[in-house]
Amino acid sequence: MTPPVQARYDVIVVGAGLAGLLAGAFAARRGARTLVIARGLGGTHLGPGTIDVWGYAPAASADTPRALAPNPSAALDALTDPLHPLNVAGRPALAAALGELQTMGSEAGYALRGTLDHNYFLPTALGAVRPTCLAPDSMVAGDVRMPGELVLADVPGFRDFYADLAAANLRAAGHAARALPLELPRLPTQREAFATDLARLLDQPAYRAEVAERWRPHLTGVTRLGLPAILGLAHPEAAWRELSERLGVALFELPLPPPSVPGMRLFDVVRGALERAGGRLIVGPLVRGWADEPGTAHGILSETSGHTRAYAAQHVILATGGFRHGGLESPAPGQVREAVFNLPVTTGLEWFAPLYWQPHPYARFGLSVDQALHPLGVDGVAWTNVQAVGGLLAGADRNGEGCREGIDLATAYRAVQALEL
Amino acid sequence: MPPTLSTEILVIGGGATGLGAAWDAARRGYKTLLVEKGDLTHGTSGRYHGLLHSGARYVVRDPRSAADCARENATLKRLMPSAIEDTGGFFVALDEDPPEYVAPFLAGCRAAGIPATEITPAEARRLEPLLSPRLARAFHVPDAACDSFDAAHLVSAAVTAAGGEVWLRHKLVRLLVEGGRVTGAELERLSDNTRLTVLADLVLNCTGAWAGQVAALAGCEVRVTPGKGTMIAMNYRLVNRVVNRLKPPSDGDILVPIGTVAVIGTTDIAVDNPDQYAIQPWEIEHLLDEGVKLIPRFREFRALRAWAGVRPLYDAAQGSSTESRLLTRSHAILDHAARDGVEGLVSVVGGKFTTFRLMAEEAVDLAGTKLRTARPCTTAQAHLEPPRTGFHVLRRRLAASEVTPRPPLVCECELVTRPEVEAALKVSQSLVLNDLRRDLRLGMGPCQAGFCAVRAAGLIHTARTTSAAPEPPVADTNSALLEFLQERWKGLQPVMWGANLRQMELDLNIYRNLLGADRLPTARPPETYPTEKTA
Amino acid sequence: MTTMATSFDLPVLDTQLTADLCIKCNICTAACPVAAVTELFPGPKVVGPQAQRFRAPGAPVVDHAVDYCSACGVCSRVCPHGIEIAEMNLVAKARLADQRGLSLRNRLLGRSELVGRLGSLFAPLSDLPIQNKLLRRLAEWTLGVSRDAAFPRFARQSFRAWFKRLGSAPAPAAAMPKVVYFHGCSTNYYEPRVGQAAVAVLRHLGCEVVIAEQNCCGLPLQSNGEFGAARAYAHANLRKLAPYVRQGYVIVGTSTSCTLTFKHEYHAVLGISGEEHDLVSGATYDFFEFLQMLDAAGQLKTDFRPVTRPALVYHAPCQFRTHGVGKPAADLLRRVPGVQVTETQAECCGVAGTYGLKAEKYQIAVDVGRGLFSEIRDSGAPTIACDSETCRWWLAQHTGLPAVHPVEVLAEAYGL
Repeated sequence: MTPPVQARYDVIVVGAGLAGLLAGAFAARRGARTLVIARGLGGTHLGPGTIDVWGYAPAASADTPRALAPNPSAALDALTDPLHPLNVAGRPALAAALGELQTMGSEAGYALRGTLDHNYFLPTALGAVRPTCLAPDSMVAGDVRMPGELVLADVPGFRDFYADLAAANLRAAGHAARALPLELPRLPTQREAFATDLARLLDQPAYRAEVAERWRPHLTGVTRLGLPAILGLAHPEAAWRELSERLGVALFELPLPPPSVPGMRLFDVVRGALERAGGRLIVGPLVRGWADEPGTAHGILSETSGHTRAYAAQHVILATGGFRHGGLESPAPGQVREAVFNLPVTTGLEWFAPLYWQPHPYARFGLSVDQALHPLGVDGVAWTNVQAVGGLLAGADRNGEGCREGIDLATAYRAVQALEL
Repeated sequence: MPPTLSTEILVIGGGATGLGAAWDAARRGYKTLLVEKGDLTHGTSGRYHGLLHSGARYVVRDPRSAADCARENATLKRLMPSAIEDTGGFFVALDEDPPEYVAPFLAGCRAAGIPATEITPAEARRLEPLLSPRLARAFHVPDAACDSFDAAHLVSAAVTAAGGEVWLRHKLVRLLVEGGRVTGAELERLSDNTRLTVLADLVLNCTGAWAGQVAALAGCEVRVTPGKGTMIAMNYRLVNRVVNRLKPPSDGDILVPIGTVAVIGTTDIAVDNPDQYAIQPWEIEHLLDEGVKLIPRFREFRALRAWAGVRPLYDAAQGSSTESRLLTRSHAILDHAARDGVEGLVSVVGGKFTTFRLMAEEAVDLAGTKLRTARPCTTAQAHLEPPRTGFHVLRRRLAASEVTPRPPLVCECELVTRPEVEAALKVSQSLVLNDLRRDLRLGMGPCQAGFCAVRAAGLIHTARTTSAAPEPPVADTNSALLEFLQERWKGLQPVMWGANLRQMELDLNIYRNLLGADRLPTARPPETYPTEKTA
Repeated sequence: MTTMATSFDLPVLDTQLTADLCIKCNICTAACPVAAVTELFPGPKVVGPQAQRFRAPGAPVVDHAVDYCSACGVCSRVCPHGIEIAEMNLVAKARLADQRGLSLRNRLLGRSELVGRLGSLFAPLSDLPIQNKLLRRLAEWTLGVSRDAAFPRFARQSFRAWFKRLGSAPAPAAAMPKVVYFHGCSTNYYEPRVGQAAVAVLRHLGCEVVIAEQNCCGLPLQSNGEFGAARAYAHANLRKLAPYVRQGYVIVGTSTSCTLTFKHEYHAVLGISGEEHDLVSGATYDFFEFLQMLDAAGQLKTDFRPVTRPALVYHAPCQFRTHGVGKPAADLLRRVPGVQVTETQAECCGVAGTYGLKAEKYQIAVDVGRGLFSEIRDSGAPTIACDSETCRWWLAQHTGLPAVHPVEVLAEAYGL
């Protein structure tokens, strides 16, 4: 028996990762009464805080490593698989989504730089290079193709960044790089410093002045200085700009393992856009689908504080991701289940590769959808008022292709566009 | 001409058996050298479920083994309490288990001197709330949980303290045999491929599942059946006592709390090669099924990791292959002079971790006789004391991290601190993160090195960056990282579903996407990374 | 050696077992308002699922940093895996309290009903030791109750006394739910006006409203580690309220922490279950959650008039967010003509029940709330609306603005 309806919405988005928040923001900005509901926060907090669209040129053979693609749009032309989520959503949706996200960034005072025909080649905290399409000001100066030695700040007492190792790897790849010990004042003494602690310190103008004074004397001859990604949480633009000016160098951040400060900033940008447009965000409940029969949903069921509440919706958008946060569940070896509506999942016989970092076949498991992102039911017929976006879709190896956020953006945009709000 | 050294007793094998023998020999004043091809407990000792047997498991079918276990259980608790958590154990019969097993079980416990006290099923379930409501009988026995790595380190330190030497990463190339006598061994030091010759008055072959291979180097036939046993570590400490099924021993009927995890085991399958075996999916299903019988909610919990070890099963009858579980778990000391006409070689075969000290005592007794310098064993009265004393308790690591200021952690799951890692790096000079794992438990927790491997790699690289070597090859550090992740992957793949799959997604996103670890230069090509158990 | 499971460990097993699911992603650590402001707290992941794997039942508690957890519950909500972090922290805190022994202060702070009853009896004299600065200094020195934390004044007439004196109620509409209004200690002893507004609104909507025999929900006892006493209070409430539920009543409360305690904490933290529990817990609603449901069913009257305080800044308390129903008070009040509602972003005001009242935690609580105090002041709205009484008193103290329960504005909008 369905519990009484708690509230009614035009659009309910399940999932508060980038795809979910964007779908919600796009819908709310177009006038839909929108709810984004999720158990927990999503991938923004775990990612680099950049927008990866398409990172690599096709490999010459299975054994040769792929080259980084300088132009994601051109490289995407070589992606002919019509079932890849980027192709399902289409290039116009991708381009429009990037533009609207950049607008949201400007509205929030946090610019995301880049265009669809250009990838930045940015250094990672281990000293590899990763391609990305949109990045904040605080990162772009690190592009390894730009001139100037990459000097990496070795901050004592901060455990998630090893400048020696990163610089050594950058040098091994032919980039001029070195580590430079630089102390940060007033670090926590009673426990480890988290990236968020340092970012909150750097939000404060007085602290930035102190850091600048301490570091400036060591920076003669340095044109660009790399830091772990701690350049402010609430005021990142001010933190980066002001500190760069005071130090007289081009600062760039390197994203770290979670909690990701740049990821949290990205979350704040999109969440702000959603809420300013009148959308509602509920973080906490576990969501199950509410449909009497397959094919059409009444809405969702929210399990919260031990009890179930029903939410009615005209449209439901599933942005629950892949296996990481349970959009796809694997309750036993070899089994997979879509968590909200028990939609059929496109899988394969093999799941895993013998080497850990080879592409694993399971990464491509997910929902198959039509051109409007409606998932196909057991009978092959698309659900009428449910759509799936982001990592829940089949057909992409998001870690390996460098397309994670690109899929989120393009599919979220296409889904809302198909609603014709 | 490779360099030559000489010693009285050369012990081959750095597992519990070899360490015990080297310690006993050194304590008795023999000049002793132990060599091991990998790290301590590289073989079976590092891959067992950690149960310090009360002996009750063997009372019906293998009473001699049971009696040995009972005595040694008490002895080891006195000898090395800091490596042992004195959890106690239960034997529980479910309503489906044969009630006629109980009487011989109790009789056997009495005969072996094992105190088995009956408690009501209700009391058993009050103490272990996850246990099945279908419990019919329950008995308490003095089982305990032993950390074999801690134990190995204690004994290894004791070997050195007693004047012996321990050489790790020295592989046995061949035994030197002259005129029907084993005179020593040729070894290869793996770090630089140097060959060395060691001359010994007596060679003790303590290589467990490999004992047959080593004896064959002297032309002696010893049939050791490697009995593969697969086990699963469940991520949460589901029980606080060892729980055994009260029925004839078979697969998956032991659940052992080892620190923060609970290990269920094992299967028992004879294999041909102690270096090549894989875990089959049916074994995992079987273990989970058995787990469900003990704990109905078993499959709800996260299976963290699966691995297998090979039991060194010695078939004294040397007959045709029998069901490996029926082979005795008793040990045997083989004097090859009497048995095969080859002097200078004694093999220690069979046995189990719990009886390692006893096996060592008997082996060194024989060695002393053969060397005509018999001296008495004193290990039973010894006490191996590290800085901490008393039994190992689960909360010690937590207490150590709850001081102010809190020590910086490298492995947060297992509370391994940065000073510990840096100290271990200084001592071992090792680039193998897997050795850090063995020493410190780094990477053994729920995130399976998701966060700590890169921190440890960073510390390794920093430790190697000195004024003498300002630019150590980064490919070596990268290989250390990637090979460690691959080693972790071996044990994850058989249990990759549920929360483990979520973990893998997170870790892969960090390593491949965020850090680009898979695109870094490495010292060795990926094809050489072990994808299954290899030597 | 046998380890004996204690009363803390047996019934709350499920909550603690969720530690199994942690993949160490640090989302909770990033969200924790306490870890963000103090070095003394290493964050929910560390004291929650990470430490939980090292805690054996019956064994002495060795980790102390968990005491700084305010149990605001943000961590449990942002965890993508459903780990009950705040709940397992509460159990660990209670074990710690049990081991250290309960201070007189914590016993006092846990007994809001007793304090309320005595204080009410002797009002307004009883206000003296609480409002007088000198006596508060003494209280801080002897008991450890922060001298700076503001406490409300005792009401001259309790809510129950007022309700009993009410004349006959209007005839309820047949189709409308029958409501047992759970007033809780704060409404009864300090802010009867909140209860008065609630009863008036419910009756205006056509609901039959009764009050039952009830006692303190027990949350302060639970928060201060007295699980035994908290369970006793819980069972007493369940016994008193179950008969009403069996007769078809729902339980509605304006004190959002009380309703959450019924819905969630009795089971997840105190380990209570069973038919009586399931009945009462399943029939409990926060006030605006209940109104939102009526609205979705088309049963909410919207005959609103303008109000005297149309500019509001609404803060959803952390306890309210754990109900997981969004911000229905803000949504509803926006439909009153002329009302402008600014919603705050901050997750927690800092007081977290009795946490901020403790001398050693007071400054941490202020630091937690600092951003919210600025948000409130920057909003320009002259009135704060908030569903939790302890948050209202705290926010009023630290912003200088008056704070009301949203139902008070709603009652005025209905002309009641």
